[in-house]
Amino acid sequence: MATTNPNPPLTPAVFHILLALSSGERHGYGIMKQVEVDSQGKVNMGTGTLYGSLKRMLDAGLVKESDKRVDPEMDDERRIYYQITGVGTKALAAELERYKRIVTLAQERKLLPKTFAYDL
Amino acid sequence: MTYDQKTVRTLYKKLLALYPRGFRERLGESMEQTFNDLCNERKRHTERGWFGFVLWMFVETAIGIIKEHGLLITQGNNMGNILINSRSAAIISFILVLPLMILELVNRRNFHEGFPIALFSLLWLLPVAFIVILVPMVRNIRAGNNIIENPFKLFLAVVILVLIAWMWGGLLIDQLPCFMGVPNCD
Repeated sequence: MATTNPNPPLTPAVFHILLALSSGERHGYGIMKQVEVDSQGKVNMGTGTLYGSLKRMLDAGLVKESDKRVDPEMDDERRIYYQITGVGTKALAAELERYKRIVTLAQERKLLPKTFAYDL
Repeated sequence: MTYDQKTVRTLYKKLLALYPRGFRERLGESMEQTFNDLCNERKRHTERGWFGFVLWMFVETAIGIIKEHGLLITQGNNMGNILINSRSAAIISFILVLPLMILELVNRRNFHEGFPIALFSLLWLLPVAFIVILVPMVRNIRAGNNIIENPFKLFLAVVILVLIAWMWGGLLIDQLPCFMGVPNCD
């Protein structure tokens, strides 16, 4: 009998958004900038992808809107901030655990370049 | 070449109006704000690559609009709501035809011809019909229903879908040189 995975694999966009929100509440532009920093400029998310993912994450309870206003420099009464929820934190942890297992497997099969392998 | 930021922002706002209503009401304003933030950042740091940035944002958002409408009409929340489905089909089709309209307007601006309204109406209507016929089938498959229950109906729907796709593809191939600005094309 098939069982439902409580933490199914995340899409790259959802993963990066959760990772960005794990360090604090952010508005849309703030999330984009954090994703850029976290991925060392390799992931460039557009507004369509960001808000499409945010909508599905809000529906799934991975993130929620926050009342806080944490960016006084850019603040605007209407600006919506997002924060990660408990469900979101668990989903992120499960995804990182999956990544960890893949890296371990890659190490065992000697697929990683030596410089990386020694760091891990 | 200077691109007026105000015009770009207005056009982006108009583009956002094509999102499904629920999505637009919930996130439209935030998207507009984020787009403005990105525009301001671009202007602060560099003028270079402005056109590429704007084009990427518009294309990326247009893909998002198609995706949201696609989800809306295939997820069954609006089962039976033909009006919403037709509207989504109309918007998806419009976004598909929009690049061709732009090509026509840009590449044939010096030919002093009228805008081919009939051609573009057909190019727009065919995908609308395609989506409207396809969606109930997709919904039935997603719901786990047996779509072969009525083989004649299924056969008819598939034949019509193939015909529509063939006509649309044929029209596009036939008219592409005109959209690209080839003189004396018909």
